[in-house]
Formats: sequence, structure tokens, C-alpha cells
Amino acid sequence: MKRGQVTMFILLGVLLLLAFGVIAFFLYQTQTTQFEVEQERVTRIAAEGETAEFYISTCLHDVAQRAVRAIALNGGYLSVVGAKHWGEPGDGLQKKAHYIFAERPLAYLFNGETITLRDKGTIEKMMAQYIIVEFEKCVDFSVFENQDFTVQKPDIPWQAINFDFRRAVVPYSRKNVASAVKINDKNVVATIEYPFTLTRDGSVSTYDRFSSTVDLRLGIIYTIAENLLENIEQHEPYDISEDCEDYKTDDQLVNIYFTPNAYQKNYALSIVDAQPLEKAGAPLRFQFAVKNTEVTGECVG
Amino acid sequence: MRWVMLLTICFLFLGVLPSVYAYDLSQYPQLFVDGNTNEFNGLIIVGNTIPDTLAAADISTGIRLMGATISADKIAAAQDGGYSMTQPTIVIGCENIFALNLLDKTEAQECRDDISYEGVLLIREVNGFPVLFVLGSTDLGTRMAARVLMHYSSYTMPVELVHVTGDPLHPIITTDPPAPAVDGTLTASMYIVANVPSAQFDKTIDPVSGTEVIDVDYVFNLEQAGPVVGPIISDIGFAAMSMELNDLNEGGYIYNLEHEGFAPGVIAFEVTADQVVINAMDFVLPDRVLQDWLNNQEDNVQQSLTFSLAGTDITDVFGVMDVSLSIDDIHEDVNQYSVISQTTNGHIGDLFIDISLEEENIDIPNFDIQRNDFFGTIESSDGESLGGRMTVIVNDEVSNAFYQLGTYYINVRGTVGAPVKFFSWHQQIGETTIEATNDGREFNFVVDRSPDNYMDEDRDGIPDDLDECEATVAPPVDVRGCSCQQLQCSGGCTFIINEFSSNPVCAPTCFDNIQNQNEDDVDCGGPCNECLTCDTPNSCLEQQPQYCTSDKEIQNDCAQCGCPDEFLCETDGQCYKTVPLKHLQCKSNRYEFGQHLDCSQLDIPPINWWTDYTDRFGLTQQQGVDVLSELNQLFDQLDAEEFETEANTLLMEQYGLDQTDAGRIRSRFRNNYVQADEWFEERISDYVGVSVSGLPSFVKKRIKKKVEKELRTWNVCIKTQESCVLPDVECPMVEIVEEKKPVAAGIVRNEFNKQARHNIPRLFRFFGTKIKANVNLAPFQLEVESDVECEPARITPEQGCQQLIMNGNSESKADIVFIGDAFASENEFLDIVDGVLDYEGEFIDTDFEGLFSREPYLSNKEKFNIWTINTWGKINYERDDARQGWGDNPVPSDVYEVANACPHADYIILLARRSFRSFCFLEEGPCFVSVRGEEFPGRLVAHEVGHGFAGLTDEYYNLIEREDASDVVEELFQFTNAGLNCVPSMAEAQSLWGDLVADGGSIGYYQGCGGDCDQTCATFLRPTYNSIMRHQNENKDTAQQCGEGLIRWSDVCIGPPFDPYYAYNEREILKKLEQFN
Repeated sequence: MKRGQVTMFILLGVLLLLAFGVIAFFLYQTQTTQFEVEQERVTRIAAEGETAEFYISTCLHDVAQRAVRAIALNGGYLSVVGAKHWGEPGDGLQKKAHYIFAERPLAYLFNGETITLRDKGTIEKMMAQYIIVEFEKCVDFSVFENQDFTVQKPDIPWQAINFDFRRAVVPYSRKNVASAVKINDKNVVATIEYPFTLTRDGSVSTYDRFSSTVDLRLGIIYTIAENLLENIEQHEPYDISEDCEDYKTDDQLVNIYFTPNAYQKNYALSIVDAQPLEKAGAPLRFQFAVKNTEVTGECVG
Repeated sequence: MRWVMLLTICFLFLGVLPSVYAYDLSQYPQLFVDGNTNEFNGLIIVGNTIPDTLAAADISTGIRLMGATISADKIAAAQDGGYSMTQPTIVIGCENIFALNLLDKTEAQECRDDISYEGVLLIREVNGFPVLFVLGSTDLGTRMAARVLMHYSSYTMPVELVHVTGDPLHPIITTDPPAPAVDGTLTASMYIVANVPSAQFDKTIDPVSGTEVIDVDYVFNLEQAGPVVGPIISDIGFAAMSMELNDLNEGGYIYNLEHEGFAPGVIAFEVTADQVVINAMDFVLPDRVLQDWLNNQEDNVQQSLTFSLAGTDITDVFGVMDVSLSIDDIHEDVNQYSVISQTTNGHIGDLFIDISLEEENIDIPNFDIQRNDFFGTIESSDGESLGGRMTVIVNDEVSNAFYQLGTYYINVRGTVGAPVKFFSWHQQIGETTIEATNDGREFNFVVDRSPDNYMDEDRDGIPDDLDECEATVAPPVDVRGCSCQQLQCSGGCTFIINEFSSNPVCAPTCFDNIQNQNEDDVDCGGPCNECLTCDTPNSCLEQQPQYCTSDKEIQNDCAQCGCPDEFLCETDGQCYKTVPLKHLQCKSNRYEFGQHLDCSQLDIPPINWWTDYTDRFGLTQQQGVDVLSELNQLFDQLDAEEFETEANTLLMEQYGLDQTDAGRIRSRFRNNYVQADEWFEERISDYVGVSVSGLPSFVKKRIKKKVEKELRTWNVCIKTQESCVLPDVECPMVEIVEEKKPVAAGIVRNEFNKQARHNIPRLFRFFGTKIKANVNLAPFQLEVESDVECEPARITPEQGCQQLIMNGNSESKADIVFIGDAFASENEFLDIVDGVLDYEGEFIDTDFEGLFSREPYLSNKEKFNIWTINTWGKINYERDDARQGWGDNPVPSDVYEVANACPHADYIILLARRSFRSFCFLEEGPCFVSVRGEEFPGRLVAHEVGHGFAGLTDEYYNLIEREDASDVVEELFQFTNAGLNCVPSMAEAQSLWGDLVADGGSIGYYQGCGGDCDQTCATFLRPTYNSIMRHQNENKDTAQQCGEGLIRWSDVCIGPPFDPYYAYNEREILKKLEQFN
């Protein structure tokens, strides 16, 4: 190859390079312009979507936490006297047949003969029902509708289906609104399937399932309540303080308080977990009453 | 080929393809924060999974923690569409169209497959801006990578690529290329393949949920397996596994293993008719396990994990899995273990534990934590043993908090040199540092027991604001936090009630002539009644005697505007009605019984009133005590007439009280200190004759004498209902006690015989000695002295009762006054009254059924006048020791006092939005009804009115055993158990409602009634199977479906349609109604 040819190839190469460079530059500029036009819309919709997710998750966490506290405060019931709107039958007794403790009717979980503490599965089911109902109250999509979003969400005629949560079908998707709760020793995990879509300008965001963990030790407290009731059933009179070692947790942050009664054989018991203190949460109280037996003592310390 | 090379060079030259190494991660987060505004100046593009969203939350939280701001519009979900990369960008997750485009991937899985660790942080330059990729091989991996960014200051990130692996909560970082201080990897994962024999699981149907439940309990031994050099190490530990799987049919399942909110692995298994096959179980062990292995590799390793199982279809997901491992002699080079069934001793699977550890230059920040043990005693400064909460804070974070009694033993963890602070409640009691040893150290503490060092007054388990009440030096124990006494409210105390709490708060002060508590004006607006508006100057308002002045101010001017009926205009412009009161000292049904019982010493010491209740008069607790002291001095120095005058002067001039309040305080002083008659005392010996049998007469005489002497020390104390009430309001229980003297005599006789039996020497008993009591209560007088007069009550129109339904002159009508307490507003109270009445009778057999919904009240409703008074927190509540389970009950005398504003009321019904056990005195009442939490309040009112109006008793039977307390005649509680519709014998039942039984229908003889009662009432007879007086919230048919048991789990038993009173009870009600026109 001659030197001239080499030079020509080099020049041609440089020219080609420049040509491609110029073309690429304009392509890039054009693309960038299009992207920038799109960007604001995309970002805006995406941000709203993120807000919706955050909003829904916050609702779930809040509702799940309230479910845990309600269940604990009422000794395994959402409401001891029953609450139709949560599908909670209560214990079937009128309010005046309960122990009124700190403005709250407590169930007699031991009546001198039988223990009526609900099993964990039933409690989880009740909490799941509570979450479905209260979650519906928490989410308010009007803020999105005001921003021209079309919201398709579950619309469930609770009264019409008599709070039959298995029939809580979402009209547009034929999917069931469902919630599941798992009580663990150190936390409670709540999940809800709540399908909804946000649509605007042809962009559709679909959301189905949300999950949240509530750091309240309902499982541990429930186990203590179970053991406590078994001991009360098996020993009369029963001095709680004799078995404090069996009831204490590793961090010794669970106390058992007792309301004495010199006149009637009915007593209120509170199992209090102060563990949420570190997380600035209120203590978790699991409360119930027993009657027609004799109980004394506390575990404090 | 040349063209391709040229094109590539061209793209590189122009910078269209991403360049490398322009930015590095050590510049995070400064690259994304504007140095001038301290705002996040980029965009976070979030992938389409929930962990991606959480990852975004982690990153934004980390940015906020550094003090920068980040607005919501800086976080965007990944959507199809263009994006120009004209700002710094953080791209999260592989399920992210932007991540895929920039990484030149088409599928998310392709992106994941390229990530060799769990997570990765990668920084690139695009268009001159930094783009930070936060990616994971799994969703969880992305989250782990994000958490590294969140805690960026804890890690060394010198270059453009960081691999993240380890425990999800505490990520461990490695970098590539290697950095000086960080090298090596540390991972541990477990992989199990095993078959669970059919003998070790049960498959049942849950009777409650109807779901299928599989329980697998699975314990297996481990022995070394895989390539082995030297002898096989056997019996090196065991693993236990239990699974509880709900609602599973036969088939294969894959679930995420969720542990403490994260998913460290997966499990795949197959359920067949006779076995559960665990195909794979793979998870990353938490760093706690790694730490144990690192620190002490030759020792046992024990670890327990609880997983919940979560899949994609949550309607089918329920399950929990507990895994515990105990492995001896763990070695780095032994990573495969055989799984040996304990029952069959056969090989049923393999456990793979993969430990990869390079110790050179490894940087694991959390692993140099040292445990320190502390022990010692805690005493209070006054020498008493101190119990309570102790908190240990390491590095300004709560490390341990617990309860101790006298001695303590704790361990805490922290880096060597970290400060350790000990607290007793809020008080720091000691300080030290973490040392490089775990030898126990003794610290003995002395706690200053001053008012600032609070105890757990509210018994809620924590020292908190609720313990810091204003008056806590000698705190009473109160489960709700600060008690009303501690709050020192100027206007009384009420409760904030919601779903989860009922804490005392100061009641609205709507009559203190001060604008406070968010009132819009003095004593109106906010928590009080709406403020009157004054639109037309120089005119009277509708509410007499309110006058609108020329300055548009409202003032009382009865001279101009007149007064309502029965009110008189006085010189101060206000209208008053003077209600003459007669001080009835009524005996109620509260008894104490015992030997050497001094009735005057019972109940709350009088001093409490002067500290607890003087706030009603605007006096502090100290002023209350001072008033008491000064009145005592005056009383000792002066005669009765002078005392009244001087006391009045003292109270009005020195303490600024008005005439009415001064009169009340003087009255209280007289009652407590002069008359001292709250407890009426009777000696049993006055009513009991003793007979002794079975011994020679001279011995009998001696024994009788001894018993009678002993008997004289036995008293019955009857608590009297001290209150100023109107003459035509009869005191509760007087008639009942009179009617039941024979019953009372029987009770005293039984009690005496029981006590006497215990006191007869065994020898005498052996020879047949018996002691019998003959009780005669005929001379037992319950008449009330009637010559004690109260200060007359002066009522203003605002305090007076409001007419709701008026059917005629009060003299011929049954006037019921509803007193409202603890309602949020006047309207709420009136709505409740309206609801519980259903005066139009529209809601029979609905949730809203009320008193007048059905007969016999419906046809006689014109015989009633209805009045209302809202108390605004004037009712106090106290607990009855004998009935702890009833809650804090309204104090009857407070209710009477409020009812004085309706002097024509025949029946008083307190409606309170507080929880206590509703009750009603028989015959004329009053009734105390808690509507809080009541689903059918109208039915409850109908039940209680059955007691208060017609004297009907409870037809339910609730077994409550009683203790044999030394200071109470327990059986006296049963006074109210029997009544017109609940009698002890068939003869009585036949005489009362036998004619109706003969007529057929619903009336019969049913066993068990009397309400709360011991076994005695089990055989009492009632006339109905179920009426309003039994379970007012249920109906007969559904009750039968539910059976006789009191515990019912189904809601079908509760709710409309309801049962009526039925014929017999209706007849008794009609008898009462005949008294009215």
C-alpha cells in the first residue's frame, strides 16, 4: 500500500468518524429532547405511585398495630362484647357479665371450670378481618382522584354480604380482598391483598399486595397468658408469684399485674410488655379476668 | 470488522456509552446532595417490587439522617418511557426498565444472574452525571444493598463497585477491586434436602377455620458426610424442625422463608398423601451464627430460627416453621452433613452448611463487640430495698431494661471503651465503660428516692409521662396513669376514651367564669356549650335572662329579659330557683361485718375529701387541708351558732368562696366531723339470742355467757347514703331492707352459727355440744332522722334540667330525668337519650330498639315526662371493694346532687359514656347506665328501668363465688338477688305467676336467676325462659340454638329480634303505671 493510500484511508476514517459523531450527536440531542418532554410526566406519575404505595403501607402498618393492641387489651378479642363490623362475635355475653377493668369489659378466660382463651389461629383470623375493615377506612384515594387519576379499588358491600370476608370480592378483578396475620413471638406480620390501579393519561399502575411487620411481642405474651391460665386451672388457690421464673422473658420486661379482691372470687390480670419502650411505643397490655377461683400474687421485677 | 471497531471508538469518543471510574462510592452521598441548599439534587427511580420500595425508603432515610432534605417528587417508580439522565440518579432493583436499559439487559433475570453476590452497589457516569445502581440477585439483596447506603458512614466504599452479602439486617461489605482494609468474604448458608417420614406428620382439618393443617415435627441427627479425610465424625449434633402448614392440598410448594420481617431464603417441598418431601431449603444464616462460629469454632453452635412461610398467593399461605440447630465441633473444612432420622436411624437427607471464610484483612464492624457482665445491689437512699425499672444505656442507646428487686445481674454488649450508663427510672445511678473482658463487675447503687425519681405508679410497666403526675410523692396505684387526684383539675376530672385507652383528663370547666381549655369565650365554645351570639344590640336573647348590650356583649339581665318559669330574678341579674332540700340519712345496702369492728373507722378517711374534692370549689389540695384545719379550730373554740357564722366568713372572705360553696363545705365538715354518721352501726348481740345444747346446764350457762360476750364484739356496719336529696326522692334500699328482715335474719343466723361452730372446743363438739342463734330483727330500725336540714340548693337556668318530652303536669306523670356524663357534647348526649327512648316506637326488633319501642310502655308513653341534664364531668366515680369487677361506679350522692336541678323527677337515670357495670336500685332507682361499648343501649335501658321502675330483678344467673372475708356478711349481697320475678321456692313462684302458667304461653318455672350470685341462686325460679330482664340482647329462639351454656361463640345468638318482658313482668310494670295518668 502506498503512503498516499494510507493517508487517504486515514482521512476517510477521520471523516467517517466525524460524520458518525455528528450524526450521533444530533440523534442524541433529539432523543434527549424527547426524553425531557416525557420526563416530567413520567416522574410525576411515578412519584404519585410511590406516594400511593407509601400511603397504603403506612395504613396497613397503622391498622395492624391497632389490631394487635385491640386483641391484647381485650384478652384475645377485638371486642369482648362483640362487634359486627369486624365480624367479631365476642364471647357471647353481655357487657355486664364481664369484669370491668380500667373502663373496659374483660372476658373471664377462666370461669372456675374451663379455660376459654382463644387459640392463636382464631385470633389471627380476627385480626385479619379487623385489618380488612379498618384498612378500607384508612385508605382514601380522593387525593389521587383530585389529581386526575382514575382509581379502581375494591368496593365491598360489607353489610350486603353480612361481613362474610370470604365473599369480599373485588368487582373489577374478581380477586378476593384478603388479609393474613401471623403472630410470632417478637412481632406480628400482617399482609393484605388489596388490588387497585391508578390510571392517568394511559399510564396504569397496578398494586396488589402489601405487608407490614409490627414489632410487638404478642406471641410471647400470649404464651405467658396460656401458661398462666393453665396454672390457675390446675392450682387453687394459685399464687402467681411462685412461678415468676416461668413467666419472665429474657429481658425481664414483662410484668404480670393482679387486682386483688377480698370479697368475690374474681380477679383482673394484666400481662404488660414494656418492650416497645425502646421504640417509643406504648406498652402492650394483654388483659383478662378469671372468676370462681382463688388467685394471688404478681410478677413485677 | 473495521467498521465495528470504528463505530465503537466513535461511541467511546463521544461518550455515548457509559464511561467508568469517573465517580466512586466514597463520594456518596455528597454526589447527590446540593452543597448550597443541602437538598437531594437527583432522582431515585424505584423498581417494581415492594423490597425496592423499601430500599428507596432506606436510602431516603439515610439521606435525611445526614441532615439533607429530600422531597417526595425525587422518588419515582420505574415506568415505561423516556428519561434523559440529566441529573444524578439512583436506580433501584432489576425489575426496573431504566436499570435494564442502562445495563443493556432485556430481562430482569438477566440482570440478577450477573450479580454474583446478594447485592451490589455500582456507580457509573452517564451524560456526565453519576448513576448509582442498587441491585440484588434477589429482591432482598437489593434491600441489603440499600441498607449499606442507609448506613453509609459505617462502611468503607472506596471505589465504584461494592458487593454486599451476609445478614440482611447487618450487611457485610466486600469491594472489588480489593481495598486496603477490606478483603475476603464471609457467607454462610444452609441447604437441606430431606424426606420427612409419614409417621412424623399429622394432617388434620382445623374445626374453626375449616382449613387443612399439617403438623410436621422433625428431629434428626447429623453426622459428617461428603469428602472426608480421616475418620468420619459422627454424632456431631442434631437439628429439629417443626412445620405447621395450613390450608395445603397435596402438591408442590415453594415459599419464601420469612424471619423477623425479612426473607433470608426459600423452602421447596412437596406434600403427598403419606409424606412431606423437603426438596430444598436454602437460607442465609444471621450474623449471630457467624459470630459464634468465628469466636469459638470448636464449641457447640446452637441457633433457633422461626420462619413464617410466605408465597405468592396469600390466600393459601399460612404456615410457620421452627428450625433449631445444635452442631458440635464445627469445622471450616466440614461443610456437608448427613441427616439421620432419629426414629429409623437411616439416612434420609443431607444438610449442607457452606462456610467460606478468609480471615485476612477482614473488616466486619459488628464483630468486635465485647460482652460485659454486671451485678450488685440497688437500694434507696432511705435504706429500703428498691424495686423497679433499671435501664442500661450503651453508646446512648438503650441496651437493656428490666425490673429488679434489690439485686440485679445483667450483661450488655458494646465496643471496648463505649460508655455504659445505669438508670433507675429517670435517674442516672452509675457510669462505666465496656472493657475487654467479660469478667463480672460489681456495682452497688444507691438511688435517691426523691419525688423526681418516679416509681411505676400506673403499673403499665414503664416509667413514662403518665408517672410524672403533679402530685406523685405518695402515689396511689392507678392502672390508667395519673389519677384524677394527681391531675389536680380545677373543674373535675373525666376521661378521654377511645378504642385503646381511657385516661383521666381534666373535665371541661364550663362554669368557672374563666376562658380556658380552648373555650371560645368564658365558659362556652370548645368543650362547653356553643357560645351565644349577640347580633342585635340592646335586645334580649332567647335564653333568659341573657341580654345583648350595646357593645354586643352578653350579660345576665333578668330585670329586662325576665326569667324562665319557677325562677326568680335577683339583683345580680341572674335568675335563681331555690330548691329546699331535706337531709335524709338513708341506709343503703353496703355492709361490713366482723369482730371488734369500729364502723366509724371504715371507708375512706375523711381527710381525702379535703384533698381530693376541694378542687370543685377552686381550692388546691393544700388549701383544702388548711380549710379543714381552720374549721377544726373554730369548731373547738365556738358554739354551734358562732361556728356557722365564723366558718362562713372564713370561707367566703379568706378563700373567696360564694355562699353556696361555703355552705357545702360547712355541711361536709358537719357531716364528717360532727355527725360522723356515714356508717350506721348495729351490734349483732342486740338481735341474737344464743342457745346451747348437749351439756350440763352449768356448763351451758358458762358457754352461753362466753359466746354472748364474744358476740358483743361482732358488729354489722351499714354504709349510709349521705346526700342532700329532695323529699320526694325516696332513698334506695330502705323498703327492701324492711321487707327482707326475715331473710336478713336468716343470713345473720347462718353467719353466727358458722362462726360459733368454729369456736366450740373439739372436745365439746365430740360430746354433741351445739350452739344455735335465734335472730330477731324486728327492733332493727332503719328509720332516718328527718330533722336534719341542708342548705337549700340555688339553681340557675343554665344548670337546670331541660324539658325533652312533656305530657302534662309532673304531679300526675312519671317524670324521668336522664343525667348525662362524659359525653363529648350536648348533642351527643341528647342523641343517645333520643335513641334509648325511641319515643315514637319505630325501631322495635332492630338495633335501635328503645324503652318505648314495645309494650307495656308504648301504649302508656303519655304517662311520662322526660327531662335531661348534662353534668359536664360533675360525677365522681369510685370502686366498690366488694365488687371490684364492676369497675369505677358513679357516686350516687353526686348523681342525687345533680338531680336536684330537676326537683320534680320521680326516676333518675344516669347515662354515662364511661365503662362500668350498669345497675339500678330496685323500685324507684336511681339507675346507672353505661352506654360505652353497648351495641343495644335502648335494650339496656329497658332492662335497668325494669329494676328501677317496677322492682323486677335479674332473671339471669351468673355464678360468682365469694370469699369468706372476715369483715363482711357475704350473704347480705344476696338481698337483691331475689325479687318479684326471681324467688327461692316453688310455692312463692306459684303464688306470684302460677295463674299465668295455667293460662299457657310463655310463662313457666325456670331455674336460675338473681344475677351475680353463688350456688344459692342456681335453684331460684324465674317466670320466663328469656325476657328483657334476663339477656336483653338476645332472643329465645337463638338462645335455644346456642344452648344453655353462658359462653357462646357465634354472633347469631345476639341481636334482633328480641324477647319482650313477657306477660308476668308486663303485669308488674302495668301495676306501677296505674299510679300515673
